[in-house]
Amino acid sequence: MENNPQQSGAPAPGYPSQAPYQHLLQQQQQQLQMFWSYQRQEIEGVNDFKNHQLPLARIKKIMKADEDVRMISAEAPILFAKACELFILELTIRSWLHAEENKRRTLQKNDIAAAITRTDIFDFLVDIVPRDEIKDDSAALVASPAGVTGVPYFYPPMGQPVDPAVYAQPPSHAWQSVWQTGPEDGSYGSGGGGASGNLDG
Amino acid sequence: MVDSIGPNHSNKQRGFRSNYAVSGGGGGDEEEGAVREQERLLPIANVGRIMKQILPPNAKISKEAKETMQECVSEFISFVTGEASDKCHREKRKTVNGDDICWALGSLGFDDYGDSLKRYLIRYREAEGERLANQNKAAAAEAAAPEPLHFSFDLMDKRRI
Repeated sequence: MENNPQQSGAPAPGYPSQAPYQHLLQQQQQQLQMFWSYQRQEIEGVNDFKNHQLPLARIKKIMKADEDVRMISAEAPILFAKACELFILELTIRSWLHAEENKRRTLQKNDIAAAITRTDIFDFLVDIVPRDEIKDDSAALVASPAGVTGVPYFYPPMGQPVDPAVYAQPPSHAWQSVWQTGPEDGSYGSGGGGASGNLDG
Repeated sequence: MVDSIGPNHSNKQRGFRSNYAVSGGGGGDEEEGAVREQERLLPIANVGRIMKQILPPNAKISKEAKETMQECVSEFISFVTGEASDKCHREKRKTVNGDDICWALGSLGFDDYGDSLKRYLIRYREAEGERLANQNKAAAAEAAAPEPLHFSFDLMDKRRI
């Protein structure tokens, strides 16, 4: 990934290292806000409540693992299918922000660990990721905002076997709702040459 | 299992994982364990697919990250379900419904989730209402149609035409 020579967020006098970091935080906040407004929009347009990205029966099983839970209305697993989708999306975004800070293109367990540590409402997850997982290079932060050009990228499924548990095909541009930024930012995957990155992953 | 009275949630060993803490003796344990493991997690393919949706096209996801996400989602379900279930107990209700889930999300600090899902629930109920109304309409139309005539040549047939 090429470094954007133009630094956005001129350092304030006397605080040369803080301003770029704050700018980064601000941008991250913005990205999360964009994520939520996009998701709210999506929900307003939902018509199909039968097909979900996560298996309802399995969700119900997990709910029922709690002995105190007796009966579950039909709505509950359906709501959870949506809630879990949002949860996965948000945690992934936050984890990716950490990967970006460390200049990586592969999302790793320690990125998820960092996201959990940084987000209050994810405190209930601390037992899942041991403390030593968090390898943080963010002290060496450079304020090169990671962004994507506004070019829509159609990402069709490449002959993958269809998982019978998944019926709904979500919009392929969901990621653009979060990572789409202004024209001055560098683009993903054009490692100095213009060739796009690998599609596997 | 000790009954906890009131909203004292943090002490209780919540979560699906505590229910699988006991390991059974005897043969076939590993296989059983693997099956149980699958049952308490959402499928890795589905989870991975959702993660991929929100990442830029050339991003990759390590297998370990997907597995970690699986664990996190199951914990999320247990966490929220527990809170919703507690509320039902307090209010002496037996069934956890959609409103309880929405409430639990808000109560646990997932405000954005609670708000979005309230909307989702409203839309779901509207759609269900429509679907049932259409079903009833169709059923009513069928019931109103005249019965086809039955002809029989059996002299003993006592059916009326």
